[in-house]
Amino acid sequence: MTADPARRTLNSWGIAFWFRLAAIAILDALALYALLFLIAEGATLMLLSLIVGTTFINWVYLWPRTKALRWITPGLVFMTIFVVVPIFYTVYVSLTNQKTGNLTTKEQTIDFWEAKTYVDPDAEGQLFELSVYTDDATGEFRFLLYDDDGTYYFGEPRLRTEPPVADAIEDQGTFAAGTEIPPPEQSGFRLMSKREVFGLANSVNFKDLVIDAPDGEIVILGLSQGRVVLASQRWVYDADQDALIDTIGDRSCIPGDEIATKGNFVCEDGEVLFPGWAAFIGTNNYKRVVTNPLIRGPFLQVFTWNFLFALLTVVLTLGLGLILAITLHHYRMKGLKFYRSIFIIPYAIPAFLSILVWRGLLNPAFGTINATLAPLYDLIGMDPIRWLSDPFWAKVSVLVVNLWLGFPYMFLLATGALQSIPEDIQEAARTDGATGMRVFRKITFPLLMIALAPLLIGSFAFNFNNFNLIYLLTNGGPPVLGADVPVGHTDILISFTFNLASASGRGNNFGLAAAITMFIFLIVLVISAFSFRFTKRLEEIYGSL
Amino acid sequence: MAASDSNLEARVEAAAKTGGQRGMRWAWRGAKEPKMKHPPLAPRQWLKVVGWRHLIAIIAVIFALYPVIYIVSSSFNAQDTLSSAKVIPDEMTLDSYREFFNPENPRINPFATWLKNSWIVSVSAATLNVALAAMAAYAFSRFRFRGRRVGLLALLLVQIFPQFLAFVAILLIMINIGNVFPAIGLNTLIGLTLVYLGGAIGFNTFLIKGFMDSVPESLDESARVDGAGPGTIFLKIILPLARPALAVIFIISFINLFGEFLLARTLLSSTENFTLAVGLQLFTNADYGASWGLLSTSAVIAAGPIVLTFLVAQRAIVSGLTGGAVKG
Repeated sequence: MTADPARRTLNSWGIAFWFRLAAIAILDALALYALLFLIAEGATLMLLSLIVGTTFINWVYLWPRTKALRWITPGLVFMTIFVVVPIFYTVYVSLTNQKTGNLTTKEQTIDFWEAKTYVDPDAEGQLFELSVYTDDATGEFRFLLYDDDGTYYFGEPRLRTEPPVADAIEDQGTFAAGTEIPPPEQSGFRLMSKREVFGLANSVNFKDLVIDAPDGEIVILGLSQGRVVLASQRWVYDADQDALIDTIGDRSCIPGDEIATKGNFVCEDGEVLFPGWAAFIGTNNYKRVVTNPLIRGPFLQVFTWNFLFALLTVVLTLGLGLILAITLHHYRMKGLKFYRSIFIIPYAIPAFLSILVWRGLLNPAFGTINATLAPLYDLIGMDPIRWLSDPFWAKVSVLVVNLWLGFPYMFLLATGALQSIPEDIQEAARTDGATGMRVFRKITFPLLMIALAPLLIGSFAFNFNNFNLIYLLTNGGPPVLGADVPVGHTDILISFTFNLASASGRGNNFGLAAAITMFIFLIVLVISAFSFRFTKRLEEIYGSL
Repeated sequence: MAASDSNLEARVEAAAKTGGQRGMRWAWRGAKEPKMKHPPLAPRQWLKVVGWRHLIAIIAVIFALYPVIYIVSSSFNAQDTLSSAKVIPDEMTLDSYREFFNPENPRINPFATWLKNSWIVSVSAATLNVALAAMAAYAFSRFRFRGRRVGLLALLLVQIFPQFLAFVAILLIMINIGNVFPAIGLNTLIGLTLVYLGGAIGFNTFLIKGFMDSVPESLDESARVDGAGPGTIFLKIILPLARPALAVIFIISFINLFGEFLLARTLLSSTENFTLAVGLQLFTNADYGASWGLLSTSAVIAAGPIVLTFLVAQRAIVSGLTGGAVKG
């Protein structure tokens, strides 16, 4: 803003230009670095995105005539990657069978099966002597296996029932002939005495232990002996027939062509091989939601409750907020600031904290609410209410907690709207001699509703997807029994979807979850369109402002 | 996070106001009497006119404060379990607070780590978010360029969908990124920050643009005559004027991110990376009743600064929130 022409040039061009150039150079260097990684990993899609993105950014900041884009691009980049792309990607995922065991490409699946080795448990193998080492600091164990020729393996054992460990062998080679067994090169480990090894054998059966070696397995035979068994490749992919051949079971497995088996190899005897790959299955996820009664039933139940929950929440919070706002809105009322500050507190506390606290308050056995109500229960001879575990009372709990969370917002809204009703109308009302109640019913309330309606729609939309409340308070529970998918009586669509995508025990069903997300997208869109039309109509009534 | 077009909502509020002025000749009798001194009421009259109002308000105050007082007192309770929690504890102690800030204590240490993680992620994401949104808002507010209208419409459309709805896709994207660049992929705080960064930009751009539109363009004009470029105008004129609005938007963004649970739960998987919301949820699932004191202490410590901010900046935050932003 200086008038000096020389400094002006420096300010608006010189420094800014060099700064921009330096930033672009750093960005390009980073992009190049990332590029090398992506090429090495063979991640084609990400590679393409990176090239397009970087080119775009370079164009924006180096081409002289891109004024507005220079300001928009930084935000645009993040919004594109983490909002726009995910929306479209959700559409794609909903058309695939992506779930636990069907996440990779077909090539990766074939690689997985071909790399799978087979160890014959009864094979002879070569015998080795065994000694046990331990690290006193961490309590970890290592086994050293060696034979007369001086060949040795040093590595970490695992239980046979556990999944294989990569790099379990930490050291291997040959001793110089005729030397004593040297201590392992790994620092911290010491040889255990025979007595200690016997002690260890009391807590773990050595015959259950194996060590994964690069070319097979080391089977532990007892306290002092082990056996190295070579592994062989079991599955071979035949590209001509597009089939996976099982060399041990002597059968061939081809990609399934039914909906349920798409993306997996199915063997001649009907066995379906997991894992498979992510396959395109068209609209089948949607069809499943609509036609499979064990999914449709829960879905409709969740859908109904979701609407009811959002609607009741808006009605209840608005009711309480409005009553309070009207009660306090009187020219003789004192202490308004005080009340307002108190009512703001439930609203100010991060919701997840208060929800967790409410969960404790409502705990049927130890919670203070049932403790407080205990005399009442005794008096009328009633069993304590199972707040969070009975289907009906869980719903009541959800609504009460959400009332607590939400009434301050409605109170603030209603107070603001009440105060915005102009003062000079007061005089007119008095002259016309209407009673307070009638004026309220016929004029103040409709006027309030017009002012609040768009915000009420917003509140409805927010609560429609109020994941935190449901997930943290009841986790959707109590569970609905006999459904094909994990679902509970207080589940709303988003918590239902979340549990589909990440339910423990039943695996992640991303495809189905994405399909249900699309239903939520649709509903959100409808609510927004409704809100939009509504405000537009108001504009028509009152004119464009 | 986003509710709907704030601009429109502001307009609707204004519409309601003018509607009142134009069409309404009536008003509710109780509302805002003329500004004169009122003679004091006789006690019976006081009860009839004001007393019952206070009574209702006090009942509501009890409802509002009951869980709050309960949790604060639990944090001072010498006994740690849920069943021993009372509004007035038998024995008061500061032990759980001392434990909270003691890094040597393995039982409490995760809480402090989670709280720290939450602060780091929310502050950095909210700061960058507001900065990027302010830049974009400046362009939309001040420049006339091809695609401006389309851009605004696209922004409007995108911010209809809350980001967390696409969590499945975001998870799969982050898995892919993490496979190549583990440092910014799944289960990293940087990764989560980047995801959050994209989240509210559309909505915040709208809010900030609405505010910048109200800054008269004659100010830019005179600065331009003095030789200022767009960068200088942005930094020296628009930003200082927009500071109060930016502060409110920052606070609201911060609070939203601080309480964000779905994405954090989806993307973070190891204890030392949890945000407070994720950590506490898993903690309460596993060990609810027994460590009630610790839970309440962390709740008080986590909520305290935010509640204080709310109370101090009440008016500004409330006007921001009732203007369309919905707090999570």
